[in-house]
Amino acid sequence: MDLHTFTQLLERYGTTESNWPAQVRDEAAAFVAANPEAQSVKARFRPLDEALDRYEVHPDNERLRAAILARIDDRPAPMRRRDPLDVIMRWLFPDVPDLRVLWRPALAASLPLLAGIIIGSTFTIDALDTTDSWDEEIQLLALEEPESLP
Amino acid sequence: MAYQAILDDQLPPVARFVARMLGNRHEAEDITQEVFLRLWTHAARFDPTTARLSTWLHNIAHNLCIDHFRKHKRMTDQEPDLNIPGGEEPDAALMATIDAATVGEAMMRLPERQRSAIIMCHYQGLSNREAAEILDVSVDALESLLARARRSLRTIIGQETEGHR
Repeated sequence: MDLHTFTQLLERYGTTESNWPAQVRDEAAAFVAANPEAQSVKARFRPLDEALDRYEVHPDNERLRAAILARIDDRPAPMRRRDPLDVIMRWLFPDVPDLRVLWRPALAASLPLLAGIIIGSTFTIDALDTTDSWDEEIQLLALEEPESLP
Repeated sequence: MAYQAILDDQLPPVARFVARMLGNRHEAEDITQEVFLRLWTHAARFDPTTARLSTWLHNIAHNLCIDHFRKHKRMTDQEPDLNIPGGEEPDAALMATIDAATVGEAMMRLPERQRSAIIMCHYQGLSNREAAEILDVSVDALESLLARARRSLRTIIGQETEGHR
């Protein structure tokens, strides 16, 4: 950093170091600490920042807060797009633990069992019916070449 | 309630930004309320991966202020008329006597974008990138706005100190 660059920094961001861009802040602080001419330039720019700092404003935040909350009470809560999986998980496991809703995870855990019982009682799976398949197997063995038999 | 926590955290800086932008307490309160109503109704549009919440709220506040100026035909892009005799740096001792009201009046004589730039970077603690994003300009353009704003303020306040001599 040189004096010209440092002066440009003061022209743009003033003399308050916390307002300097983070990328050059440390370098500029080190430069001015070691350079009396830079200190003189900084002192020349300082009165404007002191004047700006005197310009304080004091909004009535409590009144504003109350007015805002009163106005949003009249409006419906905003609709938010939420992940369906997130909605299900929040239903199963609410943020506030409550023993009265323990049936929800219990129901979710028993769903695979219930599904198995329903499927098992509703459908007949042919692959498990071995009566015909043993007959077919014996017939196929009878058709094998004699050499391959023991 | 999350909204109330955000309100507690973000209302004071946003209210100060709007107050300095408008220079009128009643108008500033209306605009500040509108900023936080937008937060309530448009929260789904906030993307935390692209901006901080404070930057997003300042963006809304800035846009509402600009809309307000346009609506009331108070928008100006022109530099203030700053013909000061001699054009010298204001005397530091006299400048120390300038009060907050005079600085506020000087601020209100700045074009809106210059005022917004200096309020965001000097008072609000926003980074130059954040301020540039809100003003929809490059960082170089923001720095130009800041330099012009400071030069104008120095001159306007200098005129005031001349008047006090």
